[in-house]
Amino acid sequence: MTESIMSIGVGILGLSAIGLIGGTVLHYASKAFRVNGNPLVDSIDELLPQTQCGQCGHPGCHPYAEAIANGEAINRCPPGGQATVDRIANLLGIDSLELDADENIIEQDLVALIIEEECIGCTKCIQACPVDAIVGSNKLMHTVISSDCTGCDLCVDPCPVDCIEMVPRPKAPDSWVPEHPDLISSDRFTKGELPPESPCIRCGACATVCPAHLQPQLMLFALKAGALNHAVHEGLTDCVECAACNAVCPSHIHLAEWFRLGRFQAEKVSAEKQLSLEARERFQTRNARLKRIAAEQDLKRSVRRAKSGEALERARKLREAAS
Amino acid sequence: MTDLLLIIVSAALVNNFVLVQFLGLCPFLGVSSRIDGALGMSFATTFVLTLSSVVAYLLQSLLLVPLDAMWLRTLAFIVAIAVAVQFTELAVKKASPLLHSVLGIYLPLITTNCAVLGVALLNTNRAHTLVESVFYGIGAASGFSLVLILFAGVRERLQLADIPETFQGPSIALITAGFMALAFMGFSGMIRP
Repeated sequence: MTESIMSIGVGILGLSAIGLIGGTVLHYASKAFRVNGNPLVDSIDELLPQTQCGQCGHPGCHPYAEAIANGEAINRCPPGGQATVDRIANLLGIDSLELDADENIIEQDLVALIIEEECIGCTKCIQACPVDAIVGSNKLMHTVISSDCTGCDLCVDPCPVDCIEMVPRPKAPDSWVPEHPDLISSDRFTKGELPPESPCIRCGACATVCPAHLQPQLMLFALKAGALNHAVHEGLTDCVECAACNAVCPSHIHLAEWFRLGRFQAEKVSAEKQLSLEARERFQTRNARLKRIAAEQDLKRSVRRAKSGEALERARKLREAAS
Repeated sequence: MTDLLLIIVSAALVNNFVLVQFLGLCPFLGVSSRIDGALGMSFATTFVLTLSSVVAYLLQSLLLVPLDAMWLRTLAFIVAIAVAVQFTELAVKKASPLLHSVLGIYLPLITTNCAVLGVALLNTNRAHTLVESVFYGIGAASGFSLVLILFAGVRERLQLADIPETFQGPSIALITAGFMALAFMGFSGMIRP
């Protein structure tokens, strides 16, 4: 009897002691090793489009990323569109939401355009631009560097003469998308009609004829599964679109067309990534500059105040001495 | 030396924790959809299994045996291992953000896994010394990592494959795991457990 009571006592006391010691150690460790900042914020910021437009109600993309990490809704970014909402939901492992935007917002790639004859050179739009994409000077005409513009339309409202318009982004040679992706195959079939695609039988004939030594069937599977990164990893960007794989495929799969569209998609994605990286860098530089200027002005102001304070003090003393 | 080598081979291949002893199945199925995730999980598991071997050995020889309270070991091991891992996670987060971003979320995930407790209990059952315990932990972890990374590679391929609708998702994953377990049966009996 006493033995079993002893054992129970040892068990309760022993476990309590271990728990108490462990809890104390962890408590002090969490204080001693506290780390400021949340690594999740940077991952979310990576996914945002870096337009710095403020439509989410935060001053820039990074503050919104912080707000999301603290539990704000993920669907407040109209420039990123539904795709960004889905990607953030995927990163956070939560259910995706529907984009919270007005119905009449059409997903369109816009940039600002200054009607230069009407610009009076007030510099208000330059101060409003979050990514320093407008050049110009006081009483001189301004213009938008359209390759740097993120299309946030923050410059439209401040303009006193309404000379800024949002226009579709001008087409550059590298943003061209083929209107007829079946062009390659129509060379091959003189009748003009493509035979229907059958499933891949994994014969490997395409890999044998590929002059770039790629694995067309693996790239095809990746593209069909929507895994663009995987297709690029398999060498999609090395494809020369010779369509030799089309010619030998016994299932008449339009391999070269898949690759052509895939390459355009991949290029578009990487161009968007590049634009957002540059926009973020310019936004950060601009913020640092504004902060520095504000600090300099503060310093000057305090020096001036101190000087005028001294002068007042001196005048008062003179007056007192005179009286 | 041969003994230690045998312990590692036995724990890693012959008595593989996942496919033969069926320990740690949740991370095996849960974190194996991508190879990079599987790599992070492997590093974290290696770390935690080795650490838990040491902690369990020390707890056992310094506290439980002198107090004659071996029946407490399951509870005591869980508490002590959880504390040790949590402490290390905090320290790593402060000392090396890079390492923390690799191990990241996996450390707390694996802390109270059955494989971790399994290593600690099996060590005490077999009366391993401190060095043997550590090697047993490393062997178990490398077996787990090997199987997890192989499985993640297979599942990445499966994502691109034409799978009949009935077999899509978890069912093809479980069938694949079954085949891997069959393959590992080839090692059985090479070394006594």
